[in-house]
Amino acid sequence: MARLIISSGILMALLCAGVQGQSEPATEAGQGKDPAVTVKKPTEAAKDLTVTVKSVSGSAEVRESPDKSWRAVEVKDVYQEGAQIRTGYRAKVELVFADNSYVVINRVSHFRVDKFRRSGNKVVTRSHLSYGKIRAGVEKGPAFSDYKISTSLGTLGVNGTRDIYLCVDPGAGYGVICLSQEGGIGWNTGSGSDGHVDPGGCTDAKGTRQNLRKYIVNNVNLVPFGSTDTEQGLGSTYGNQGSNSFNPTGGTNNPMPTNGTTNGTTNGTNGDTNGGTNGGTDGPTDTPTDRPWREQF
Amino acid sequence: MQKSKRWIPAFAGMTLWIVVSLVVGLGGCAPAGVRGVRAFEDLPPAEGEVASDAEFLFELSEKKYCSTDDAYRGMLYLIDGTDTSRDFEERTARLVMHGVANKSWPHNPNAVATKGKVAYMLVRALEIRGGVMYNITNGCPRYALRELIHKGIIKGGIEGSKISGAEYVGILGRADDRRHPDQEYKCF
Repeated sequence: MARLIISSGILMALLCAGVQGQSEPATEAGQGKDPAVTVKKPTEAAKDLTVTVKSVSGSAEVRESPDKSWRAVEVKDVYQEGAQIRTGYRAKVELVFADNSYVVINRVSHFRVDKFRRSGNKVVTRSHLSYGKIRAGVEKGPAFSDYKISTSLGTLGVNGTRDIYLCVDPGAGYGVICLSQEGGIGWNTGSGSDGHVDPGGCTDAKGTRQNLRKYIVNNVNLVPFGSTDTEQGLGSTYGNQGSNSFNPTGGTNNPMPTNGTTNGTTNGTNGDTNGGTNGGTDGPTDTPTDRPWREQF
Repeated sequence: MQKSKRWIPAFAGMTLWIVVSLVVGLGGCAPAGVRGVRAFEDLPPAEGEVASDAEFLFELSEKKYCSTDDAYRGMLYLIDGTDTSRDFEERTARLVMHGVANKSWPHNPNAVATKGKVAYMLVRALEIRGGVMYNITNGCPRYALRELIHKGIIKGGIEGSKISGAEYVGILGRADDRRHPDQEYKCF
């Protein structure tokens, strides 16, 4: 008799626990909450940042999230992470990120902002170039910048570099990276063969260097992948090293060069030299008011 | 008199040969696809919203293979900036009118596009003069492809190589660079 009472008690307890476990999601569903949203609770430490469209030309469309439809890109549009932009012939879209980094999406390209958020004193940027060409740059600032651009050929880590030209043709397994100013990049092909790519050098899908073209850039400091702190990764930039600040709202200090500033794109042979000093320009000292992204933090 | 009688069968035979040649030449031996090609002139634009080139290129990049229809669409977007054709026949007619596509090709919309044909069209669309062999052979696809490989627009392959959607998007991007050069991106 005692065994029967104990076993029935256990059975009742299990049944109650099962009913309670099922009733909780049902209650949330009844309130119209999306379970995925309830799982993702934004903390104070992590905050999504925004991307602003500075200029548009040609046919360019954006999809702010996978469940939304494509629409035309317009100037002063503000996007958050998850936005995708695709361009057609003779199109160009200039994006300014809230941490003063920028991306210029060229013609026949597809670009996606996977992650762009601040966590503590660290700004994490993860973007993806499916195909096409972009020009990107990271401004050095007081915050720690973890900036990476992934492609089907590999992942590019950027370290306080201005004007990185990245071209990806996944169909032909072809890509080009060209650095036009100081800074450092790393290239991880994902096949275990981490390494750096010479400025203007080409790499195929396996990470094998293809010396189809050779464009030389002066003052380039290439950072092999893995040579920096693992947790910080490539693209880590500490400290205020001074540079022209970029104000997407129309400031005068615009580091984005105009045409003809790709000084190092002439043919040459000394592309493997790591002679450049890393940053350290004598620009004006940054102040919090010069950096609009601070307002968002 | 006997001499003139001897000439009659020869004259009749020659006439018959000419007639047969004309009949065959004017239509009998034409490739099947060419019969459907309509005149380009006075074609009204397609009704409804036309897909943008950005949309077309994005969808094409996700396809495993580039069909002939996709290849023609991409070429029209490159040349005209838009594609208002209602169907494949109209698209073909426009390209033939532009002098880009060869009228004698078997135009099959579902066939996978080859690098030779794409090169043939691109050389004409980009108005590339070509080399000696290209001109001697009157622009055959084989030497058109070699010309584009030399110029870096197509990254290798042979005449009969099939083209994937992503690869064709890359080719079109480089072709657009050549048509409308952007000095900022000259390093590519």
